[in-house]
Amino acid sequence: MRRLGRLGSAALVGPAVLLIAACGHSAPAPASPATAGTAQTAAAGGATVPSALTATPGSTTGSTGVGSDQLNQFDNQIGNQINQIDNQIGQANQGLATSEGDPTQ
Amino acid sequence: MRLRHPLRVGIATLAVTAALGAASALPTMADTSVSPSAATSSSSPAPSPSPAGKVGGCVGSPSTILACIKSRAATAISNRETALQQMTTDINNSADITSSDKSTLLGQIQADESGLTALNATIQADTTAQQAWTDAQTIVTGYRVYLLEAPKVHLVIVADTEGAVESHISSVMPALQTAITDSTASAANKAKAQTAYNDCSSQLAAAESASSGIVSEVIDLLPSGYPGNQPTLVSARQSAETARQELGTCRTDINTIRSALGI
Repeated sequence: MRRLGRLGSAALVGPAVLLIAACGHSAPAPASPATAGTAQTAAAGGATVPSALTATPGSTTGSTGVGSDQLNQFDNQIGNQINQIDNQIGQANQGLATSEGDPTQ
Repeated sequence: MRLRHPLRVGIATLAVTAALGAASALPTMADTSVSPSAATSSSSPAPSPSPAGKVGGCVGSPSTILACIKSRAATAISNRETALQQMTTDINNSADITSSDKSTLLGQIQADESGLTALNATIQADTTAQQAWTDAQTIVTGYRVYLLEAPKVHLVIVADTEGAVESHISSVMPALQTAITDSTASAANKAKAQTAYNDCSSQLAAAESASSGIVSEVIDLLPSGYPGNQPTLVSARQSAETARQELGTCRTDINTIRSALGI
């Protein structure tokens, strides 16, 4: 169920992002595009992802329609999650290292 | 007669030496367990400590030893309850743990806390050092707070967080592929971006494979299965670290794509 839920979320979000990104490439940027700070879509596990990787004011987009601001935000979120992973692995290691003191080992 | 007394004292000292180290460790982090029989394995027929006896780290008369064991046991339980509360905090602070895993772990922790509270009451009501010592062993063997519960909780949080990162990355991959395909960057840079994209795709799949089984492997591990189930924790830790490295590489790949395309 856990995996199914994530896959379901990804299945919904992924095509939406693709579709919107494609539209962003073939059409002019909207007059009032959603900014990275306001256009958030809940992702699995409470994370957020840019709801549309389209041009945002002040961001570098080139011809791709992918906003650098939103990619920066995406990278920051991934970085925070990886930091938490590192922290939790470190705590798990403490318990596993303690097992050396168990005489039954 | 002069030889018999020192001999008796010597035997009594040997009999409790093994237990001494473990009792000293009771209030510490180590889940060192010692057979309850260690406290009575002497050739001495006396089932209780001698007047000048020693059980665990406790020395003195039987009543003094009993009080000492009770005090150490209370400290050991308090320390474990503190650790369990910290685990609860970690679970509640995790933005990525699934509701199902959160509920399961919190239920296990609550059961441990209730069990330890009851165990402390039992120990405090014990009337002999031997019984208190026997009951005190259960603090370690019945709960394995440090050796099993803590790694289990943290590994579940890790696995769920990795799953969230995998979903997160998966959700933007199609847009990144579109960006590469439609980019006006040089052919060389587009090729570089595509190579990075392909690598990220592979890393992502490998991370999903590594992390997907961790929760089911560890979340129902029981103290009664320890140390036999300890290798499962070690294996799960390795899988978690593998997925972590692959996700980190994928993140780097995405930044390579951005650099190549100028986005």
